[in-house]
Amino acid sequence: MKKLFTMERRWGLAGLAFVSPFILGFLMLFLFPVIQSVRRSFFEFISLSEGREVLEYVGWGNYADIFTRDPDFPQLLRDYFVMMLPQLIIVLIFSMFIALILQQKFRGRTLARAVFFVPVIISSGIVMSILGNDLTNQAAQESTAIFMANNRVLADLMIDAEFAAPIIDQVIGIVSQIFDLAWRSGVQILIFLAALISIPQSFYEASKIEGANSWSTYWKITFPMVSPFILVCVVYTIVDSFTDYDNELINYIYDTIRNLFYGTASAMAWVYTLSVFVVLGVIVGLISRRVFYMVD
Amino acid sequence: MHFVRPSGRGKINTEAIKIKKTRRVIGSILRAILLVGIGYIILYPLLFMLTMSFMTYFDIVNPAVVWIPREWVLTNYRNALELLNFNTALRNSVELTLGTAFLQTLSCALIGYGFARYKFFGRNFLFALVILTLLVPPSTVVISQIIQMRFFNPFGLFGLVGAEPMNLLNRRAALFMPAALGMGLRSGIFIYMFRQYFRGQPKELEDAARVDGCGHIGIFARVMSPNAGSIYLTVLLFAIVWNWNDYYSVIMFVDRMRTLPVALAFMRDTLRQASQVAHLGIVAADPYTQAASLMAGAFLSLAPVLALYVLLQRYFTESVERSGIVG
Repeated sequence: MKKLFTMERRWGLAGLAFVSPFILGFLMLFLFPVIQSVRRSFFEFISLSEGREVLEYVGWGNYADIFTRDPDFPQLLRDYFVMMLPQLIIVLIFSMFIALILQQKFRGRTLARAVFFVPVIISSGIVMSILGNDLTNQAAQESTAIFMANNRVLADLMIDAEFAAPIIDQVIGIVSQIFDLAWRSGVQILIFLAALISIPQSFYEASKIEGANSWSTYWKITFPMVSPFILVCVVYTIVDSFTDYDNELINYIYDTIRNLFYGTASAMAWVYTLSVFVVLGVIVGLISRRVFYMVD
Repeated sequence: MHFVRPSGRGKINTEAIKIKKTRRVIGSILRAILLVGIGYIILYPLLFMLTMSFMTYFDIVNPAVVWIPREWVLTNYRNALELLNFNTALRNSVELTLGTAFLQTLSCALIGYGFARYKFFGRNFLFALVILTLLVPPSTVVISQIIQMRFFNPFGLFGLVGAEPMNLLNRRAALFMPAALGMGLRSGIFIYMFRQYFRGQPKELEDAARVDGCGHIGIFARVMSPNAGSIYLTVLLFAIVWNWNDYYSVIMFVDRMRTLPVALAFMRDTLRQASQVAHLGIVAADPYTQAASLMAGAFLSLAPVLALYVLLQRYFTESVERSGIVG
């Protein structure tokens, strides 16, 4: 007869104990709302009578509707993924690059790091919406909203310096893209930076003694050591796009809720969630084969 | 017999050093240009906010005044302090943010560690659930979550002992409990970060500690965690910033505790209404002054986190250089 508590089992139980807060939280706080919302996607709202909703069971009807009857949803879903993938790659490369620069020793590093942290603070808050789109009234908005799209001072400077109009357009276009990129990458830069900092210095010393140049040091030491965090950044970048004010798919779902099609909206939200989950699974599966963990 | 001429060697060496030096100089110039350029782009809105908050009506409408106000005034800040009810809002913000952030960091570290260092039945499935909690759009579940907090009755256990379901709305527990159970704001990302970090740690460290008689908690707290300083600090920082800025869960679950972002949103609405009524005791009715007051309020609500980052920044760079047992 096998022993009930082998070494391995006891070890596993300890692992479960570490994870148990999550299990408890998931069962207690998350599972029920999710079930409710899934259930909801199989019903259609009919009317309100005496403060209670009247619902009709429609089976998979809502799901069939959003793909066959809805004019926009399939297109929006496709657009979302077509947009997301290139953006993901650009954000990852940019934030890794900036993190590598910010890790170097130079004068003013503290200040530079503080500057790149600003987007993390501002972009996740109400301040962004105040700066961005709803100032107290139109007149004041005109003077502030400009910075979101392009850079007034820079444009003025270039007009004064008598640059040709197409060049100004080009430069302003690049600047506003960098603006967008820098604002999207704040968190990723910090995650990479933390990963870079946690690489033991002794590795670099060893490679220096072996005579490695910085290129091979990067690919043989820095990149493998940081690679587990590339996955984290992939997940974060995708999750972050949920709360984007210009995520058209989410806005479309909100509009559907506002028009009282709760069932349809729930179905949309679940199709969206599950397709993101699947795409994420594929991406993570592809990357994680190349990810290096020191133990394995 | 061949001898290497010492003079020749010396020549090559100085040249190589020269090339290296010029390369380094060019590199640092490029770096400076890049950082200043991107820094300017990032700081633009913040600077805009800051300078506008010190301007009078005349400076704002004057097209000749671009960055530096002709006349620096503090009236906008005075208005903002009063309209935000700053002291109360600050206290609420600090209380809720610190509580949730510390609980979140601790619980996510434990959970992430469990996923990283132990093999147990259903581990991969559970981890997929962690990612799922991140991916479900909050709007789809928020209504049932509010109802759940209003009639809090975990697994119907309260019914067994004959107690009524608890109303957790407007209690700190409504935010603290999810944070402690790995269900806080974006907790999944934190769990993921800790898992990836702890997974990369060498097994020998753990084995050595075990041979020395260290228990599970001991290994976690005294062997693994001290090395993970930069990850702990990053997570804590994100947790503080995100919870500080969090607007929705505050108005959903603890709407009576008005935090700074909530107060700022209310301030905006008050001003908007005031501009329709055309006058409000303390704020001049014109939209420009109101916008400037709003900018002052926005800056006031950001300043504490900004200051915190500048303070923590030092530890952020040093944390690992001090601890050298890895590897």
